[in-house]
Amino acid sequence: MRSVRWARTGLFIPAWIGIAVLLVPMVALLLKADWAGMPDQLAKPSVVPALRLSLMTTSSTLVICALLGTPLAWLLARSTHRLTPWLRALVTVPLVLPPVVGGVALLMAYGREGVVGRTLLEVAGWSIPFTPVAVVFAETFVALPFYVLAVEGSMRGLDRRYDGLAATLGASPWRTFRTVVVPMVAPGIASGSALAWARALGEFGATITFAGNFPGRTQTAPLAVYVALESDPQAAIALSLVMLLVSIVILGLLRGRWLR
Amino acid sequence: MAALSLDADLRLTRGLLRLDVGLSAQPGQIMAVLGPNGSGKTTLLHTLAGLIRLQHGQIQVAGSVWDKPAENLWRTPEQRRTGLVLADHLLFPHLSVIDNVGFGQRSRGVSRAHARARARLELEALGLGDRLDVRPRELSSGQAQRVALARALATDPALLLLDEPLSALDPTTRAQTRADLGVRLRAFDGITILVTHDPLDALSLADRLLFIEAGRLVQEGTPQEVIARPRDAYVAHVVGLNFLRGQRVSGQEVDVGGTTVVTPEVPGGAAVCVTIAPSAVALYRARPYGSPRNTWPVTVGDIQLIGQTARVSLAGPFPLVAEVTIAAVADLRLGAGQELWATVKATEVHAYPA
Repeated sequence: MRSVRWARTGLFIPAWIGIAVLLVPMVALLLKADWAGMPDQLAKPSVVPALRLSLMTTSSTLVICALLGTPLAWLLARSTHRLTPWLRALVTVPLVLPPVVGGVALLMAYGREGVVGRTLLEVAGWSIPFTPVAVVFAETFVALPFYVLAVEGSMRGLDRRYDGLAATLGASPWRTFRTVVVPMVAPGIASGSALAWARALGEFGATITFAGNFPGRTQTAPLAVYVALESDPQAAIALSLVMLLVSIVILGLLRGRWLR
Repeated sequence: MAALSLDADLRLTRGLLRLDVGLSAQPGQIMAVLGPNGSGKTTLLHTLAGLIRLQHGQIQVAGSVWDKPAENLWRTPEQRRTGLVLADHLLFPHLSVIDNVGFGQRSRGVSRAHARARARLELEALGLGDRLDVRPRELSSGQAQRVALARALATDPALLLLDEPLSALDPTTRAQTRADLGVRLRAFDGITILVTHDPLDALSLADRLLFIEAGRLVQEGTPQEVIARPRDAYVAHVVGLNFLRGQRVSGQEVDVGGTTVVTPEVPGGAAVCVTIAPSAVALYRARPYGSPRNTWPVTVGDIQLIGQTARVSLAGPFPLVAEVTIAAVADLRLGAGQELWATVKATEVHAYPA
């Protein structure tokens, strides 16, 4: 009996410490906030453009993830090619890569002297780094793997016999993808979108490296928080609270219906 | 339009299976394909649907070639005219019943209104006119399977391919769905190929039976022909007969592995097949006096009760199944391992050339 109680205590203590590790900072954020001054903080000229930019870039990122990531997930889920597992592993790399390394890699690819960037500049006159487009590039680079993995997981769970059955009914592979696969993996697409969007919203390292930190142009909400923390802590807290709130709302909305 | 006949020579190797089956059928025919697990039934169906490619041979339907590796001819599943129904209904969960059934027509470029009108007709023919707008999850298993059938038929297939369509249903639903299926299939003017391991499906629905084992055709014929003269142990088992292979000894005697079996008439030719109905096998505790000449010592194995009768597996000079009344089970106090005598009247033994 005694050993059981001890074992239970031995499990409870670290478990509660774990919860505290996660909860204390978030509660502290709430306690330190100047609630009365919140509307004024959020109306500041350093805050509004950052929030707007984050909203624009993360929405664009989400659209790009859906357009590119859904077909990619389907090919990964159904391909029997011997290189497919390697491709799947490759897609996962940005997931574990330090974001700042991702930023450096993006610079090497699309920077003015980059592998692709130099040609883009010479041929089309486009320069990507340090523009809002670069923010979207950075966010897509880190968010796409989350989307692809979530969607591919639910596509692999889809009974393969549906593919063949739809074909016997006269559906082309494209029609099957559009009218059977995508609707049937809608929950996976929703949770993949939520994960990708949250990852894009929080993106810092790759963005600051590849897109810089120009207010109103490439300064997203996380960058603005970081900058404001020294000069204007209450603005930083207000911005942080907005992001915390949005994250919780998204999570809550999805959890009820789709996330398990 | 040319008659929508099927002419196929299906040959391929897949893993351990070597499929080599010739197949031909006329419009309106319902052909049942029977065989043990792993015999290649489903593979056969998939080659016809175009989900698996042949390695040799060919498939021709209504004069057009669907698959012929030698000439590099191949039609994808969506270019063929087949309807597929599997054991699980596999209805699209996000579409209503009527849109499930209309899916095939929509895929072939038919307008939404026409596809729905056609789907409605198909569903009404199967007694589902009041379930048009519900989602598949709200259907009972029998209804879902009938919707799957309607979906397959709504594309006017030349070949309707049914893969164990009733096997996932509970017994009561299965009987009703089998009856509905029978009615609908008789009105279908294409070719139906029904893969099943249930003899009742085959005998009640099909007008032609095809037995395959290890990828090869072992017997083909009408149900009457197959019941009268099964060609091997599996076929005989399916139609519920004891099956023995032996050598002709005389006009009345067949040698079955060293034991003589007596029958009114043995056909010419050395190799002979013998069938004995299980109901013709009588069991006794002691060797009966003045007994029939077909009397063998046997040991009781497995016993299964089906209503008023019991099927008793017997080990002896050759394995036998006897069907006895429930009263006989009690009188003989039947139990596994018990030693008995089995007799069969010569007139109940049926011999024919192998």
